[in-house]
Amino acid sequence: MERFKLNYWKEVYDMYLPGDEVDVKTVKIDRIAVRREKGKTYATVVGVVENQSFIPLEIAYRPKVNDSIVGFVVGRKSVGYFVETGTAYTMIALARELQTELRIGDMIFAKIARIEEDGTVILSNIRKLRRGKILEIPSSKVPRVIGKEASMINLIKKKTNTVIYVGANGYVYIGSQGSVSKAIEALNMIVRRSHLSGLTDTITEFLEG
Amino acid sequence: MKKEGIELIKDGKRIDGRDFEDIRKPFRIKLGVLKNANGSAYVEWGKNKIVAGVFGPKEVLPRHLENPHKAIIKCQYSMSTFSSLEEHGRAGPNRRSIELSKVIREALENIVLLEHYPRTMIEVFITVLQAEGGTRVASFTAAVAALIDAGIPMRTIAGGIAVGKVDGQMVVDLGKEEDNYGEADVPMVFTKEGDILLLQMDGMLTKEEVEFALTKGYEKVKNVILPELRRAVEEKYAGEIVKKLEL
Repeated sequence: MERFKLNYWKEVYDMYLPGDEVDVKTVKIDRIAVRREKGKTYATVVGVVENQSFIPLEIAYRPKVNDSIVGFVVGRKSVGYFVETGTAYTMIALARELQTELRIGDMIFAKIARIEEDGTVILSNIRKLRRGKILEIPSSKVPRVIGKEASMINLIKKKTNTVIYVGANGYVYIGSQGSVSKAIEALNMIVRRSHLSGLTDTITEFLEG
Repeated sequence: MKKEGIELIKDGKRIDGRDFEDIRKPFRIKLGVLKNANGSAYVEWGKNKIVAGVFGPKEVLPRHLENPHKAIIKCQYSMSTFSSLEEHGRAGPNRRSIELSKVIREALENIVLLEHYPRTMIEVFITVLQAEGGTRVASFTAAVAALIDAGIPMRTIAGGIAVGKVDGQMVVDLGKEEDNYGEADVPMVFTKEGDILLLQMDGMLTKEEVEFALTKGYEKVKNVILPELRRAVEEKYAGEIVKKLEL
């Protein structure tokens, strides 16, 4: 079958739809982006293949151990705080992990310590974030927002003088200092153009211009 | 069902001037039409205009519906009150839309990989803005496109079409008059591989005619519906830039 070509990153790749056979060894973001059946590998979401690695262009978020999470407190119980992260699962920040008390509405940055059998997600390494706002982006774009060895996010932080934390769940915290609106625009630009080539150049140009 | 004075086939052409195996034009799909949904699609199929939106995976409400092993799908098909010339009564679910929501949900459950998102719910909302017959298959196609847009893992892609019998002649993709006054109507949904996900029949057909309907239906899904779905997905990501480069 003749495929539409997709100009992804710096080269041109074929695009795969759910059910298309792909020849890959590894999977980026989440392994459920492909499934194996009778020795063959099939895509389950839209994606491209680069260096025998399947890169999903869009995939619904699933919590995984060691993921960084940005969220805000929506309630408390004796055991800890309930954190809203825009996902289907309840996330709990344990009170004994915290030095300070949290209040409802506080924003936090944390790591997923473990996932309980009933689907409850337990957070650790909790850091309270100061005044700022949360921007929502698709979780599949998070690796592009961070960039290779955090190059993209560091570029935005440096040029706009802001504090930014990116959660794997797709929440991005931006502190109130610095040129916040410019940082938000840059982030939205990455989301819109994440699959197109020359992204870093475009963002650099935007931030300097 | 037959209505006097309506000639559905005239001089070898159908009432809207199509050949027996032609699909209504225009037929196009567009992805990402709703801003707040996780995934959405718009399908225009003849005079049918359908919007589908997918939300989730999200927390299951009411809680007792939660399944610890897999996600559940909630599907709501609804026809807007202004969608056709006939009286549709009050807005909201009615007997027909509850049936359609059920058959579309059950067809979707067979291709969505629900086991990856246990204890969650995926909501699919389908709204028919304008109806001209064959909305259940068009709605299903819109729902599949919206699920792809939402990044929900799926086993394969699927599309639907209706084949029926009008004035003793087997025809593909029935329009409104053919649906209402024809002899039989068989809506069906096929996966890319040819598995049947949905098959209903209204009216009477012989065994040979059913076989013909299934063969023709799959042929059309494979050669017209799914390529358009593929094009729509590619259009969303590749867009203008690739066209400019002529890759």
